[in-house]
Amino acid sequence: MTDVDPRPGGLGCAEVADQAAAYALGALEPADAAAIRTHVAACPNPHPELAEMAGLVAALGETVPPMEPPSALRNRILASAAAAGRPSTAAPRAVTSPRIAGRPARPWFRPARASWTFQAAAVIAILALGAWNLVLQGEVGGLQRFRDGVTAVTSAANAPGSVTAVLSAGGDASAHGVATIRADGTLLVAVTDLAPTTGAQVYEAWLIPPGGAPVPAGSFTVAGDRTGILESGRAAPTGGATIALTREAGPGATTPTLPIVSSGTTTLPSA
Amino acid sequence: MSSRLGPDLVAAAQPPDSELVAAMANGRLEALGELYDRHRAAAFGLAYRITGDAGIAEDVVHDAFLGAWRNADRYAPDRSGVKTWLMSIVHHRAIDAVRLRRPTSELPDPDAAPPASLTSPDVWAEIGGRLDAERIRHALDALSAVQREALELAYFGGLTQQEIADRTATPLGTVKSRVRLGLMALRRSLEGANRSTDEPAAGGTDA
Repeated sequence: MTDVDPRPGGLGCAEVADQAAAYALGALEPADAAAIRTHVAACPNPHPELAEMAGLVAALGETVPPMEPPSALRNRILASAAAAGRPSTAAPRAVTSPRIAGRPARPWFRPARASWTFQAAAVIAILALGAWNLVLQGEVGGLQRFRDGVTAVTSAANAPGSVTAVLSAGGDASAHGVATIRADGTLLVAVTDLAPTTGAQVYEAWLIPPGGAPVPAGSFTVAGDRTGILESGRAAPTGGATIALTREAGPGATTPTLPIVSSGTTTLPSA
Repeated sequence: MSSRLGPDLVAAAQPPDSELVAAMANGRLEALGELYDRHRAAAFGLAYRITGDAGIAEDVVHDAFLGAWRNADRYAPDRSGVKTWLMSIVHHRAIDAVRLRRPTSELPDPDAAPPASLTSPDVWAEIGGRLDAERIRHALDALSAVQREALELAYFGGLTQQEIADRTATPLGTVKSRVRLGLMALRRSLEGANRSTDEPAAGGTDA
């Protein structure tokens, strides 16, 4: 025991135990709280009283009535997490929103490149899945068309003011793809593994704003290569909107015919 | 007992919070989304209760969940429950936000944010296991009014013990005692309630 500091942080274990309640409540002066942390980091005693007090203190928080946060907060958090990268590789720095930090107004978050790295990973996965299905079906022509379509969508997605959605299959369908709405309102969609259309049938793209009704945003047909590419000028670049595909008996549908074949939520205007 | 079956089965079909945190540590964004969906209302309720401002509360919850994401690989499951961990991050962030806004000389209006009553019955299930509402009331009865005030000013008001002493015109040593004894009394009561629930025939301590 002689090589161990008997009072790490300038505190004895009994003093730490004595202040555990105040520490857990955050009611110590900053210097005193820092001394506790210094002590615990160096002390061979695990100080279980600190965790116990933290549990009791957390229960105080549970007395507060739950309150539903604004719905946009979910996407904001996920976008920030995507931008921050994997936890194990994230820089260990605190993130503080500007309203809290009291900094002058500036973008709280730089969405463009970083969020795109997440989207790109999703696109790669989708490309691989779509490619695999097309290879299974011997549709190499469709594979090339889908790749070209994805390239067009991803380059448009990197332009300022674009919003992007990764489309994944709905119901028992398997259609996957990507979509972007450019700042000028052009909707670009590349989807694969779609059942071919017959006769007058089309796939209709719908833009569904948050809390709003579906707006038709353009239609396309699908041949034997099971791949659909759409470029249409009838969408507004709104984040948090849903882009959904349905199969319709013919062009000009004003309400979608269920089921939704593939859909995704738009995220993050690129900066 | 059969009434518990439904929720239990539903709960069994979902991964526990700790698995979500483990998935987050592997970079799984959807796990963060699921964790957020489970705890967003509790987190936002607490952040709003402390900050009194919806915009700041939103920032607090954002920063807290981002902090959870960044530190998911350092989360130690044996140390505390995931919800306790999350709520403590939210609490710290909210207190930081309140303190940054508040000049040190100016303390909140005591009427502006009345402390939440400590009578919500389902609160203690989290720490106490199988405590019913009656037991919880017993536990809360163990707190004196001044102890409860000290705990609430610290937890919800973000005041340090020194600030509580100034605010309530009470000697610092007295405030320290109230904080410490208040939490001790809470723990003792909950443990007593838990014990008599677990071992109803074990000694008749509350007979």
